[in-house]
Amino acid sequence: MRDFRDAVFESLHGILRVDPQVIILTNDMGAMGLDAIRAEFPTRVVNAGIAEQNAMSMAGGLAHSGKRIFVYGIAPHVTMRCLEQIKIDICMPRAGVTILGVGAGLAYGTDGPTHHGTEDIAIMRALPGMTIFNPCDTVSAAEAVSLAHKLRSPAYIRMDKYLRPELYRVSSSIFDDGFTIHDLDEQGARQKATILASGITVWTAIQAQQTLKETGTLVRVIDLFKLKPINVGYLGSTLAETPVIISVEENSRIGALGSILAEVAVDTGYAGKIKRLSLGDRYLMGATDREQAAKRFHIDAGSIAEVVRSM
Amino acid sequence: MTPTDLKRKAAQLRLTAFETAVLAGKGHIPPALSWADICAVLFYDVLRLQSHNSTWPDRDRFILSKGHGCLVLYAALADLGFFPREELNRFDRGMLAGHPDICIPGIEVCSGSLGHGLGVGAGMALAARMDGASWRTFVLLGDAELQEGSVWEAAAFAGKFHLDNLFVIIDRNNLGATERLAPDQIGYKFKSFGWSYDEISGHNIDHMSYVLHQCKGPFALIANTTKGKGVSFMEDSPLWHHRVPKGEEIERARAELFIDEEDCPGHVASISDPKICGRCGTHIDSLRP
Repeated sequence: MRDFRDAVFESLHGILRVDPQVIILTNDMGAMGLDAIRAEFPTRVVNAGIAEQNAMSMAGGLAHSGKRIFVYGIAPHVTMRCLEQIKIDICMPRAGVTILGVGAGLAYGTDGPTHHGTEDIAIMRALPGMTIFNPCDTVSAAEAVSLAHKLRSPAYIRMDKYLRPELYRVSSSIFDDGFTIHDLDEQGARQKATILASGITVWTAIQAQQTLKETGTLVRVIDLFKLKPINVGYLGSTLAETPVIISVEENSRIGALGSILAEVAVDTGYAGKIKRLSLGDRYLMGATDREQAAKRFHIDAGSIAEVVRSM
Repeated sequence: MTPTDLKRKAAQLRLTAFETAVLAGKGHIPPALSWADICAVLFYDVLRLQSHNSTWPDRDRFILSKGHGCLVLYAALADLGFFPREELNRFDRGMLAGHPDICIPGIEVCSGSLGHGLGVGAGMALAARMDGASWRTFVLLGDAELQEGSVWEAAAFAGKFHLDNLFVIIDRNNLGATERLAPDQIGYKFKSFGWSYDEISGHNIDHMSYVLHQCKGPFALIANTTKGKGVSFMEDSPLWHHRVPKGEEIERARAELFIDEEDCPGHVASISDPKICGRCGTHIDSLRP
């Protein structure tokens, strides 16, 4: 199992070798993969200092002159501290800047809520022209970097910190469609519900799927890898295949995965039942680790299975 | 351009900026008049630009970080031919909004929210250095804008990275939108971040031209100015930041901004007698075919 950061920086390293315009900015954040890039391209990794507003303005200025920028830092710091710089200096000119935010959801766990990325999706999603990738494994994290590089417009990639096995291959259809379906083997069997997940909660959803299978309940898991833009028609018709949908996320209840689900359901006239599992409208104080938090907020596999059974 | 020509250009820019706002019934006049002399020096003496090719790769980059001062910038860009003069008559109704955006030829970045320009300029300057390009980046900041912390993030970066192709001009008129600013040692602040600086009059065209041709970045020119310069009742007054003159005020301002008949673009009907240009006194009807 690899670290998300290693996968992302290895992918980025390859891009730097073929595209001389690519520059990396950090807010004084280090990573092993970044050190390897710096060793080969010392002038193309720029430490902008602990000054996220300036990092984003500079990214806009560099992009204005034809550079392709990746800005790396902790998710809440490189999205919320510098939000207006992202809006005016990056999104308004549709600059080729990709934000690499490490610490999706509660990945920073016991480090506390200043480091949790639980509102970032809601906020970044509101910015016109912003593409958002929320990978659940290292293959999709690396692929997100490559997709963002091809975009030439603003993008945000959320990185987890937990080690997870590889779920995808580079050729997986998820990279074309923005989401993928994980069904169990029993083809044609009626599936009771869809669990809509994204990022790390894909693994929780798959765990719930296994738990439910043991008691004879079949559910489908959808991994929404690309949170924006969404192919509303295609996702809507896929969601319509089960009478129940449950979204599960380590985010605020407002604005992220559950909101996307509600929007797609309304836009496509979904007639079934929906339940949105999230952190609610609260911060997680204290040194609570991720597993304890999942139980407390009822977004762990057991809670998901219970919700499915109750619907 | 000779210093006399530059002074005349500055006077034209003031007049055009004023008339643009009066026609629209909207606009920040004093923040524009404040840097009209600086604008003339930059656009007619210092900046290397091609008005017929606004995206010429080797052009100098100019960022108006205090975007609300755009009336005088629009006047200069129209005069230089970046876009037709008629656009000025449609200010606030057409391409030219109350704050500049990138849909306007000659405008590099969207501005209006303060504290962004220097950071973007630092990114541009860094890009030019990475590419070994000779173009330079100039950023105009308001002095009240220096209250934004992001300005100092950018100043620290530019100093640390010795961005010798980055130049800042501070329109120091000592007024914010509503209040007089506290006395401040702006030059020392920039110096402490590794910049060089000079402090001179922002209305002395010869001096500004001399300094901007000599300096090496990162350099901050603290240009001491009078907000509303050229219209006595607006000068140094916190009341006029966003107020547009009415009635007799218009005539008084026009009389003060008057250059000569030759420099009365388009003529403007006076309020008391629409047949007579309120600026230069020419009978407008006599000019029409």
